[in-house]
Amino acid sequence: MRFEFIGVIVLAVGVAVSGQGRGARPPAQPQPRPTPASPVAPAGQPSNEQNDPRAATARRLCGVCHPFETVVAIRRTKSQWEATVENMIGRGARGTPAEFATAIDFLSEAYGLSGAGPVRMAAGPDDKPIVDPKASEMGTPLYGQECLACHGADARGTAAGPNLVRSLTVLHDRYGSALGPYLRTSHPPVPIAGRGAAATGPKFETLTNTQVLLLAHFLRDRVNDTLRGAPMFKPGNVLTGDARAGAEYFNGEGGCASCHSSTGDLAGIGRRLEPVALQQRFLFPAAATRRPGPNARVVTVTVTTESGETLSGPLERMDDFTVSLRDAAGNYRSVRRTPGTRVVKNDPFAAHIELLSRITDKNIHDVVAYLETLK
Amino acid sequence: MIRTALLLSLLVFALQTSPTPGQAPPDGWPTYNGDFTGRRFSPLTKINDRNVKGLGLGWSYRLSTPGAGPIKGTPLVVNGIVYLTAPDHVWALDARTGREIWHFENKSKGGIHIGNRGVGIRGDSVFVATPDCHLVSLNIKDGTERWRKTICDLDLYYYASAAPVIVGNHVIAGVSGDDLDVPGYVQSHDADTGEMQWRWYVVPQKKGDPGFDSWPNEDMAKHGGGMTWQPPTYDPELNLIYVTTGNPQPVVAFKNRPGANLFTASIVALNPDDGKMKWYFQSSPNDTHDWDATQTPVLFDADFDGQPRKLLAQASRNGKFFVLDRRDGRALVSSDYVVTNWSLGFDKKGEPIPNPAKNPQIDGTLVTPNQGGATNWPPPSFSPATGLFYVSAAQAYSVWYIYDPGDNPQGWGGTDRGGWSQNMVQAIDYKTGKVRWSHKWEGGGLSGLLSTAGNLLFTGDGSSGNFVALNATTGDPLWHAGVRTSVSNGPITYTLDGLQYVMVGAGDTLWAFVMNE
Repeated sequence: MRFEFIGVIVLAVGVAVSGQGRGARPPAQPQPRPTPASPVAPAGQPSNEQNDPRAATARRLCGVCHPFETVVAIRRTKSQWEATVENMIGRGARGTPAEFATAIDFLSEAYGLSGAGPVRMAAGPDDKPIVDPKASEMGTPLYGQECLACHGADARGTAAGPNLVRSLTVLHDRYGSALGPYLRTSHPPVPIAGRGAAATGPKFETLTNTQVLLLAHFLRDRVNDTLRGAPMFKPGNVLTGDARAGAEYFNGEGGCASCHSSTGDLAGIGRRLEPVALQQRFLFPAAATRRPGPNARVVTVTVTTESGETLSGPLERMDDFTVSLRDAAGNYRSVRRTPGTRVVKNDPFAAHIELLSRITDKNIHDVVAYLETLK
Repeated sequence: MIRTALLLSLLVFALQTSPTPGQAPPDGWPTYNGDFTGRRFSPLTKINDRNVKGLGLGWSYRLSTPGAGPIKGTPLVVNGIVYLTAPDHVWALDARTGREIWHFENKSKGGIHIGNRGVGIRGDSVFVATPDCHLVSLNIKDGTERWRKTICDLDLYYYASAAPVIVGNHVIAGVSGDDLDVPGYVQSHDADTGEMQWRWYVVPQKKGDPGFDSWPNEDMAKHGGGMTWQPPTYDPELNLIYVTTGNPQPVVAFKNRPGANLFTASIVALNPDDGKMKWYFQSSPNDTHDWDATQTPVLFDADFDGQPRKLLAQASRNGKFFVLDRRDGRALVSSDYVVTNWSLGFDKKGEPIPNPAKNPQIDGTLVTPNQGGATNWPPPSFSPATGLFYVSAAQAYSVWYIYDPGDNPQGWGGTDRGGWSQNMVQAIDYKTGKVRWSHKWEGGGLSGLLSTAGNLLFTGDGSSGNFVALNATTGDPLWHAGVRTSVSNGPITYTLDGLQYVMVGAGDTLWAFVMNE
């Protein structure tokens, strides 16, 4: 249940932090790692809450639903922050494209992960083991030699040996504390391949402490592979549609051609975006199109007041009781919504929203295949 | 004239319904849902549709620990004192002034701190669950600790967030967490000593257990998830608690768990004295979208097909609305309360039939609702005065992907991504399952609901940041107060000194509104 959630809704946030040190305890509070000076943080300073004006924007957008400290408890790569923000927009987060872009920039700099660092988003105890990726990598050949035949490449078990990802010994382990004693004294004898069940090799008494530690890192890594947000979890091949059928839908039933053109605004789109981004962007442009720019599309509103005055411009905020906008002169105008007030909202993405209730999965995959051909 | 007709119709309806067992007096809010029924309906009328415009601020209280909120729990009000929670925290406040009387803080060993739903109270004890898997009993006088028991294993990434429910000498506690493939359960503790009395596992723990045939093998069954995120409701006459259960594990990648996956995503009736199951109804067979069915199972006694019936209604996260006979779990109504696109109708038991094409796919499938669901944990409300079941709802679309295409996925193995949503309140006619009226919000997000005999429905308008009163019969907005951020819990109401209060949490602040007339 995420999605507080969210879902929580419990939402896809937890309190763990990434593994960045050898066996280090996770810091109690998020500690922004130093990053190159950003264009808006004072030169030479890391981007963090204290010195970065963008922090307030991120705090405000996220803070509507979550404690900000929870949001940033897990470091994420930039693309993961982008995906998270898109998800939150899909779940009702409200802000302008520029504000979301600002928040993503800030979060990926102040609470990001550079390069190969693994994201280990997880719940669990404060003292849970943090995987050192190098140790896990060093444990891989050892696991392959000693364990893989029975427990499988992903440690999820085979007919010959149990699932280690679900093993209580593994889950209660701290850097070999439970694993070492178990392997040395309690692990059943291992049959020697090709010589029948009776022929067993030695137990694992001879494993060194270092070897146990490497195996502990390797196995914890495999546990972490199953968690939401695990780096190995990426969309697969979404290019499964028929480009010709996609073109037909684009120009016909989908109604896309009434606003878009393969040689105009969409020229080269297949070169600029990955297929999964194409899919997301044409289905959910409001969530996926965040970057401000000369062609940025914003919701506008026309308000006719009780006295007959008509105001029109980009919508700032609206609820059942008040509507506010920027008028043609750029002034902020706020109007109380009375029974005699008329409000007409114009969502530039209305056609995309309307599509959601009628487009089929085949149409979606065909359109993505078509858009991908627009190189 | 219209008002007279409305009052008459309300009276006629009220005559068709009878008091539901387990209702509480109106001078407090002594349980998570106010009473055992889960209706979150108050008979108070001092604040009503005619005078609500005069509702004003009594006091507000900002959590004394920065960052501990938002307030996602329902405060309890007993003998003029408010008991408010956040993960690891309980505060006792003077209900007349908001002044802090005591504050309990748990020294945490971990666990997800995403929300706490509230305390349970029995006599001079306050019970709370902590994220690090403890059930704690506090002295109601000063918040000092009486006992604490471990109710789950933090190393298995469980945590605790549900408000304990007290039935007799049973403190009933659920467990949270759906990261690793571990079983959900609900258990009961002796209120005085803390000793565990029984535990009921949601999923079969060995071959031959009830529901085992709905799993491919023992390993998948016993790791099959089904967390008990929400407080049960209780019918003292039938002596049954109604427990709701979470989604199966692995959550999204479903290949290795064909079958209905009992008793995940279900409503189950248990005997509170021994934890034995009497019946179940599965709201989401073989769920593949993280749609736990832990939304409040609301109990009311009302006419159905001309007969007085003991009913249970749930607006489930999957977008389906069910009305059951709560004696035996038989479905009387199964319907959609928002548009859904993942099922092929209902089977003869009234349970949805999942459409396999809408299970998550490697190349993505467009599904509504999204992962957050058509609704979620924010509590719904049922008004016996209007006969309407109110739910904070979302028409939400997202694309679902399988990330782990292997034959033996674990944990999550996929997720949804992106999306679009429209939030609203749906008012559902319990007799037909049809939406009588729908009130859409500009803001996003869900808030809890409270209905009253004053023909009012209190809730939040999502990220617009207002606490709002709607006309419970028509859905028309009548009153609002800007509370700066989303209403983050279920509102409550009570009387003190002859004055009616309405209280709501928004972010880190608890707001107490009062009608000073």
